[in-house]
Amino acid sequence: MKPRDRFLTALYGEEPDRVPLFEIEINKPILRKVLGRDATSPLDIYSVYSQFRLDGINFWDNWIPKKSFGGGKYLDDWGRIWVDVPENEVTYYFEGTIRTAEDLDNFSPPDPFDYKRLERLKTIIDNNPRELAVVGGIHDAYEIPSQMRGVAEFLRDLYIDPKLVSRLIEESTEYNIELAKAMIDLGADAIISGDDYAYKHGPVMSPRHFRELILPGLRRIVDAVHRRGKPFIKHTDGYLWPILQDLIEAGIDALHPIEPQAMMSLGEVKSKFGDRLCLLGNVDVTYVLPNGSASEVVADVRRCIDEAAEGGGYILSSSNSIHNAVRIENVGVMVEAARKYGAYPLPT
Amino acid sequence: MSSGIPLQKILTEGVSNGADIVGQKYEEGEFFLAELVMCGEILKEITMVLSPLLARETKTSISTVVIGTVKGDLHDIGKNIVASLLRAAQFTVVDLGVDVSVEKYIEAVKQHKAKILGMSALLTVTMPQIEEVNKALIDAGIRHGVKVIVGGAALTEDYALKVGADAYAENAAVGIRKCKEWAEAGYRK
Repeated sequence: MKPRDRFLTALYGEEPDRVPLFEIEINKPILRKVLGRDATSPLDIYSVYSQFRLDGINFWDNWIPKKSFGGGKYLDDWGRIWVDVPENEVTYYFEGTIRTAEDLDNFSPPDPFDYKRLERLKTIIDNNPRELAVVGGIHDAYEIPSQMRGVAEFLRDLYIDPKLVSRLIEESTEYNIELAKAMIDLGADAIISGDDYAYKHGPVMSPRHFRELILPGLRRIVDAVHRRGKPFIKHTDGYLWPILQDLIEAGIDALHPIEPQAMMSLGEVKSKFGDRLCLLGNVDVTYVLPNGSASEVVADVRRCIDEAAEGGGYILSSSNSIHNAVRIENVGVMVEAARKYGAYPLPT
Repeated sequence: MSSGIPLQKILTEGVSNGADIVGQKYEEGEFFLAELVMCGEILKEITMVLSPLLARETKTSISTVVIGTVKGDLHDIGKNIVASLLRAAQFTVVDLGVDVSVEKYIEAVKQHKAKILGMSALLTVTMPQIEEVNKALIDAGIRHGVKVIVGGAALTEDYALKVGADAYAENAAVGIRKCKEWAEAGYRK
């Protein structure tokens, strides 16, 4: 079976030939180790996904720095400030710049059809010899507004300035609806949205605030993706049970990565919602993939398959991304174990 | 205050207890991160109102806590919430911010004669920093004089104790309680 068919069959809730593999992101030092040099183009990243024998690949819209302050600090076109952390080779969000309604009045959102934002995705769609499933990465109704305002400030504004909150959410929702459509029109097989609604202890806001302010925007984006005939994968870290039913009612087709360290049990999600959701994830990325022995990796892969692969609708991935601390050999062990133990029909 | 309640009572019974209740509701799942952040905001405003009066009176401080997020990590919401709750509990808090180097922690502990060092680490890649700081405290000969408490999504109690921390705080409320416990025991425990 071709990787794309395998991935999409599972995403649509069926059993492919074996459990597919996916990663939302692979960090630079890992790419470098595999390639033997720095990754300089999306084709390099594709090459690493191919070498790891993954079935699906994701590309976000390109992050475009608008202004550089020097010293590795940037302002982007969403009014967010980012900082390079050289030891991690990652650029992290640092703070927001929208402080008042006037700041937002003077703000113009980026253009979702700007080819510079879509270039990487298009390159891969047009150069896909192994026929991997290509997922378009967007955001939805929480992360960009939160980062534009400042994470703590945004949470405070839920109480102090809900009007500003709603306006910020609207900017992000509109943009991401158009972005998703553009990605699908270019040929993306599915859309994944990256906003983290929760962390280890639960959602960052109460379910009441979530339903009132975030859910409507998410629902509109999901609808737009569905009207274009594609599935919607919701990525979010954290402990989700207080809002999981809401996410399902918003129409999501799949959920990633189902963080074990946030007490999300893959088996429990499968038993409650396996008939409505394709599940992606759950191989532990805080201990097993960075520091675990080969047999610990195999055991975790087999645990995931046991908990979620029955009947299809499951795609194996790490519980976040292949980040810098992951041991490369363990990725190979994970893939090998998924191929060995994930062939359908599963042994009873 | 206009009803004649002494400032100290406002701080210990009003503010500190109020902050404890917020922490409790958070642990019980009634309050979320948004409410903790809101609490921090309210505490800041209270401090602004009370500080002219605090300046006139002898400041009662339990002791000094140095806090920061480790090198390579920019997450600060948890640390900021802990800092504001510690201040509400009448600790003096020196907040070093984020991306704090080993040297900066050691320098601050020495300079402020801190009794407690709090470190926040949310990324798996930055966890080893905690061990580095612990080693540096030992090398500087000051490890015995300071209690080390750590928190952050990536950490576990096992890991924290293994690398030399005295305590692991799985959330802000647990962390504040531990700091108060140490203070009450004169940092002997």
